[in-house]
Amino acid sequence: MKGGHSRRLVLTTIGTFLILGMVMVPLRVSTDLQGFFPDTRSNPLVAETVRELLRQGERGNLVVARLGPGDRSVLEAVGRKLKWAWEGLEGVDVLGPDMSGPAGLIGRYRFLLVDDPELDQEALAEWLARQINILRVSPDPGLARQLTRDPTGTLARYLMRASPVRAHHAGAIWIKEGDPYGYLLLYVEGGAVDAASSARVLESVRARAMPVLAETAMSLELAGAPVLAAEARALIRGRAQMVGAIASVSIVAILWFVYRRASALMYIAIPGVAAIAAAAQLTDWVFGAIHGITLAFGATILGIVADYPIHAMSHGSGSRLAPTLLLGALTTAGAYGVAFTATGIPALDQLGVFAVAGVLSGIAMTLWMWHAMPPATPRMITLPRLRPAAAWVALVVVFAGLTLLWLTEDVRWASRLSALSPIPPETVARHNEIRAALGLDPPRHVLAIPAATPEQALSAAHETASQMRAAGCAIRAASDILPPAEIQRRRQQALPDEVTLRARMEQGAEQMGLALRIDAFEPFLSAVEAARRLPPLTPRMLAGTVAGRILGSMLFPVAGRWVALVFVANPECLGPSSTTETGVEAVALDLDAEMAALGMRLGNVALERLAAGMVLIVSICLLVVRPWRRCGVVLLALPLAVAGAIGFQLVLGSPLSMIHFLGLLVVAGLVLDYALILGRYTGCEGEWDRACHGVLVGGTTTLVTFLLLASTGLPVLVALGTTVASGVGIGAVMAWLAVAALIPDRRTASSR
Amino acid sequence: MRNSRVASLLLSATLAMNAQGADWQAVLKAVAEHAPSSLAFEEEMHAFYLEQPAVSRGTLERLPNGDLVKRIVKPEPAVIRLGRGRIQVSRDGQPAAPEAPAPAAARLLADALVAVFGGDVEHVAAIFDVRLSTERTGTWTLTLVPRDGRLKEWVRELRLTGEGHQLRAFRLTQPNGDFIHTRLTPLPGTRHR
Repeated sequence: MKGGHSRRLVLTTIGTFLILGMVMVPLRVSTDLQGFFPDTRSNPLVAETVRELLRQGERGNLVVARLGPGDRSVLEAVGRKLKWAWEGLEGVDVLGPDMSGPAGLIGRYRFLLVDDPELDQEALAEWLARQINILRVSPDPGLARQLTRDPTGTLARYLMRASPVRAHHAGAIWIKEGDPYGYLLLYVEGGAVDAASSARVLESVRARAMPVLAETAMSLELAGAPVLAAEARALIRGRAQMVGAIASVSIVAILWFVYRRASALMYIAIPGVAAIAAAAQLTDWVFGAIHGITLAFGATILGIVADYPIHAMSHGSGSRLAPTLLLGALTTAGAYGVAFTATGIPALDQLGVFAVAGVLSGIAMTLWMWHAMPPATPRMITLPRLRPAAAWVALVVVFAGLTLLWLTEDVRWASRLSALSPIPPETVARHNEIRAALGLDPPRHVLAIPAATPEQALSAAHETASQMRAAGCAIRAASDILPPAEIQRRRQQALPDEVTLRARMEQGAEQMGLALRIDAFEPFLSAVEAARRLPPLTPRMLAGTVAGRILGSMLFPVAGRWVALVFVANPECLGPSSTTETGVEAVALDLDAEMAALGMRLGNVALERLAAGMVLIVSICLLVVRPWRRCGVVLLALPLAVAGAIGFQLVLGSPLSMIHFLGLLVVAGLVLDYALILGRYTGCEGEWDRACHGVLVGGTTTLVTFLLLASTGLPVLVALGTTVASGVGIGAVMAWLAVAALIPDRRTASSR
Repeated sequence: MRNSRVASLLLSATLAMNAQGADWQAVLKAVAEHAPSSLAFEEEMHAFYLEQPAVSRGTLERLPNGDLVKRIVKPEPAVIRLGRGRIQVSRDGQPAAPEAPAPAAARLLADALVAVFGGDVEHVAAIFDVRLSTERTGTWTLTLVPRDGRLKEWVRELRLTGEGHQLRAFRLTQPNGDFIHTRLTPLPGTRHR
């Protein structure tokens, strides 16, 4: 028999780890937070525009690289070297101040890209006088060359309007008067929503900068949403790994203290590991990839599975616990299925598949190994039986306390997901300060203008932008980067031919008392002439350039249409109506409000699904669990545990978020098992002690793990840790009280 | 204070009699000491993009804090203020161009001109290699060649010519041969600093 046990354990262990190895290695783990964006069926235009803005917009993808301090010319030189070092790096674009891309595309098209290239005689005269006055005191050879190529500063005006930055450029870097730092701007592919990808890219950015910086005494500081996301990820990962290691050692120590044999530890570990492997593989197969957060939270939820072999060993192979454990597992799986299926939030749907698959494979593995498991005799730990009256008094007191707490404390909802960020406020403030130094305000108020084609969307954006600017609104529109083709053609037709332009220049210069050597202005004259024959610039032609990158975040397809964006600095310019004064269909968005609504939506979905899961558990218990007293134990313990865990958050003053609700589902799964197992008590000799043993050992390991998580100080882990630890603690006590209140102790009764 | 006046009077007298024996520091100091607060200028700008030199006229004023203010009256009015490390160009009281930070060389040049007109010989010596040549007629020429590579990209040399303790003209020559020649004359009724 002993040999049979060993063989089964060895085979199971080898099999599990082989499966785990095969399953986990090819797993496609996604880290893109888009999985948490709700579906877009209700209002696709708004939802997908917001999603796109958060996914690849200036808000989430721009990183400011601050270089310095140093003299401007040194900053320029080092900035240039950094730009070269970063060129070709996968997942990152350096947004140089010239935005022109490799072939000087913007330079060639500049006369078609600005409202007025100012090529009439008066404007030319004015510009020439102005530029020459500057050259009188600042004989910059570059400026002199610039004068002969672009005397009316067309390129500079285009860049000033199209660039997200409000600073001046000097070669490869941006600079500000009186600021000893130079700035570079990076567009990081994954942005804030894909922290893992951003972390990899930023690591490469820093690595490539190191040799350049080693030659100087300058430092490089990166700021922006992708940097914060990567730092948050590293922080959470680091603390979670540390907690994981401490928790593992603690749990092994507890289990060793209880069971005193290595095989017991293996039996406890195997169902959990097998459950995670099976759940991850199924989720990957169903969804094409598994989200990193699904894996992390899913593994937490599957902490429930680790309790199954503990309960099994506490009761021994000869017991009749299996149906109870199976009922608990099926009910839990059903509740998770209800809670996480068709939520409209892909990551939650993944979590549903993961949790159901994990719980079912965990119980299957436990049942398969049950007969091989050693009974838990070395350390019997139990709970005393209480008198029913005392138990009822305690339950009434708990109920009254919770009711009072719920009535007196306001339930606060964490509408902002950023509230869960582990980054200290001073770090966020520092990032904001660096961004602000470059005048880089993340867009908040946005006008989304939909149309059938990109050209129509750009036309509508151009028309709207013109109206808004005339009304004194400070805006930046997609059509500033690429005006519609029709407008480009109109501007092209207004460009003078070479003879006319030459004459205008000569006469304008004469007007200012200047005698120009017109031949020196050949680059300018030929550029205007060439622009008269260019085909209109299109989004496709801009692809691969910095301007194209910025345009891509302001003009994109949404629900079969194209949306062009207008960023609005002053929100009073955005009316409540969905059409602008020009009759253009448009939707005004406040991204901060949309983010808050997203947080609320996630919270609401989680709350609704938690309630649905609870209703399912209660319904199953009412239908299946007999006798009624045992059913009553579940009906008392479970709601009190959930209400107690929420009450604990109220006492802590924590606003409730989706993380708390995920924690409550773990609580529900564990407490259901505790109530079912303790509620099996019929007065048989040793039954109570075995039930208590399983609940206490399982509960202690859970408490240790989640208390450690709560001690990390990181909001996400604290929320999860405090919720589960308090819920499990309260739930176990409530189940104990409920059994004492509802199920009479026959030994006590008979001895009376 | 009294001693310095005596010294400068002696120096001026020496320069006026025979500049041959004076060093460039003494010349520059004497010029700054005796420069009127305001001068009239006529400037010719010779550049590769100009058929004829662009001529401008106006006044050059040295403010008590050492800043130089160049007021162009013709052909197009503009005010250019040079201070230590900064340049401001304005028209009708408004900045003439977007307020971009001046390039390093421009700031160095502004700094150098302020130092030259202020007689700050130590600063001038730090920026330029200076050579003094004198004529029997009492005229002198100071040739300033930038030491700094950044300034060298803009300025091949700065040549100041004068007589006694008066600066008559200066010429800024660029590496490509373009140059700005400025003639200075005292404004009637302006007092010496």
